[in-house]
Amino acid sequence: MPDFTVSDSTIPDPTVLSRNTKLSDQYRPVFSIFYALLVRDFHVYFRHRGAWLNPLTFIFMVILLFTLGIGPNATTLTANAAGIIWVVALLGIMLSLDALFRADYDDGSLEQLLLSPEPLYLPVMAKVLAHWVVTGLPIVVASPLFSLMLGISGKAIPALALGLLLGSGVLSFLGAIAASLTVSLRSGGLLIALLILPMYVPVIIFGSQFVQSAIEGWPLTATLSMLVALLIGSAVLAPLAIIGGLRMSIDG
Amino acid sequence: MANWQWFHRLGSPKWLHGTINRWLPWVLVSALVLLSIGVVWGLAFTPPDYKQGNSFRIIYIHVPTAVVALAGYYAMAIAGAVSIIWRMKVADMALRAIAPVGAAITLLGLFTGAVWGKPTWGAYWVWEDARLTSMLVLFFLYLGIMALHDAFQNRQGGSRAAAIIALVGTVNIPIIYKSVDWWSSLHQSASIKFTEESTIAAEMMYPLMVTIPGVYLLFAAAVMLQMRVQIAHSERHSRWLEKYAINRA
Amino acid sequence: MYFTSISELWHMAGHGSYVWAAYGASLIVLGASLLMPARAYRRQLRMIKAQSNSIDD
Repeated sequence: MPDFTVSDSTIPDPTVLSRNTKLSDQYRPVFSIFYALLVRDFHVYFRHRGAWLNPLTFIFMVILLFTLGIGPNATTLTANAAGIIWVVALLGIMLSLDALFRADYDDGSLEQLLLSPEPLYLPVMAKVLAHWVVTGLPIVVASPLFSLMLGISGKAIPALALGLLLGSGVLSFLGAIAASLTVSLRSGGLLIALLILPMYVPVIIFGSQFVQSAIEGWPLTATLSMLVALLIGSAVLAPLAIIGGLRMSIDG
Repeated sequence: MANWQWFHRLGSPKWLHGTINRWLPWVLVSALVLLSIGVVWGLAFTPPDYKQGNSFRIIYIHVPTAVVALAGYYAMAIAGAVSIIWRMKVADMALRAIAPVGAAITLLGLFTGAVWGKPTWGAYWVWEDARLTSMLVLFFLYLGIMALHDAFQNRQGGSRAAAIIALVGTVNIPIIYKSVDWWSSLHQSASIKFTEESTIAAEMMYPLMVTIPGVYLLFAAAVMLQMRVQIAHSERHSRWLEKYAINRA
Repeated sequence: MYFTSISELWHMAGHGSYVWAAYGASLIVLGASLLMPARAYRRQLRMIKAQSNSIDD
């Protein structure tokens, strides 16, 4: 069991806040919880390097397997590279989703969070954001290496990274919905996949098309704006479903 | 409030059971009549398509199933919304009842589409056809909801989870359909063009106007039957159902 | 009727196997989606009745 005790400095102490008389502090509790959760999750995640290392290792291994399955022919690999990288990145993020709320559910801190009178929108944002920083962001950072492995040309590498940056956020937000719904079940892993893979269809289409367009030198604005729209849409709407899912998981 | 009595009665399994039993014969008979008329009409009395020949007669079952498959998902999502907002047991039952029926109809839409594809495009499955690909995704959405229902030991939790994911799916379906549409148009090979609207003669469309409501009604009948099974399960210890079971036999 | 004979209707100028496969599958799937819950319901009622008899005895 990882240690989830939080150092006192990161918890907003209600007595201290009530002694503050400034009117501008009215909104502080909400953001304090946001920061507190973010900081705590970072502490937890970085104390356990598996949180960010395991998805990344998984991705590298599956790319290796794809290469072994398809064959070493460079043109075949490059022609399929965009699709391979996107599918593999999607699977890596998806497999890490089960852990998103699991520890908080097991030690009861999720219930505590839901009992608090503050709005849950920002705390949920913090959870997803922290999860994205340890799963999505490393994939973005490592994406030039994927490109090298599959022979994507230099000019398409920034497009791949940008596409993954936007798309992995969508994957995290949508995936967190499935994670919130299955956290009370003993084994949510495969169920998360069944629930969320159909929802990932637009991300995989626009994400890999964005890379393909960059490789072919086609205009990028259409697919880029779609990825941005998907990210904004999922960031605004997904937390509502996540809150509903968490409430369901706690109340039964 | 007299106006709201029907609303509260909806919460009573006994009332619902009686209502389903009263309506079911009518729905079922009208569905079967419409489908028989439409299918016989479409199979034997319409002229063949000048390009596709007789294979186009599959339209009279394929299009209704495709329409009802999508409408069924939306009906399920509405039931989910009602169950979340008003915590109505009936809505939970409807959600649970629609999922397997909708999945079956979607599967049928896929099958008839594939069988239609073989004589038309020379292959059972053509990825360039966005409609078939979207319907496959829709089928997986149904299966996900069924899997979620099954995974929960606690019935209420399963219903709420399914309601939430059904609502998420409703927001997603138009995006999925549009994106698959765009994707297929992007990758469409020159030999196969799906974009041009085929000009189907009016007399070939008439049977469709009969089979579409027919499949809708059949879907409604199947959902009512499924709901009745659920009522019988949840009320298996109640006096009224015991009396009903004894009197019926 | 468009076709002149039953065998022509069955054959449909070479497309018969596809058309009839589609309609056959529809009959099976739609029929099963009606018959299966109807049977399950009848079984439930029988069980409820049997239980109430065993309690009464």
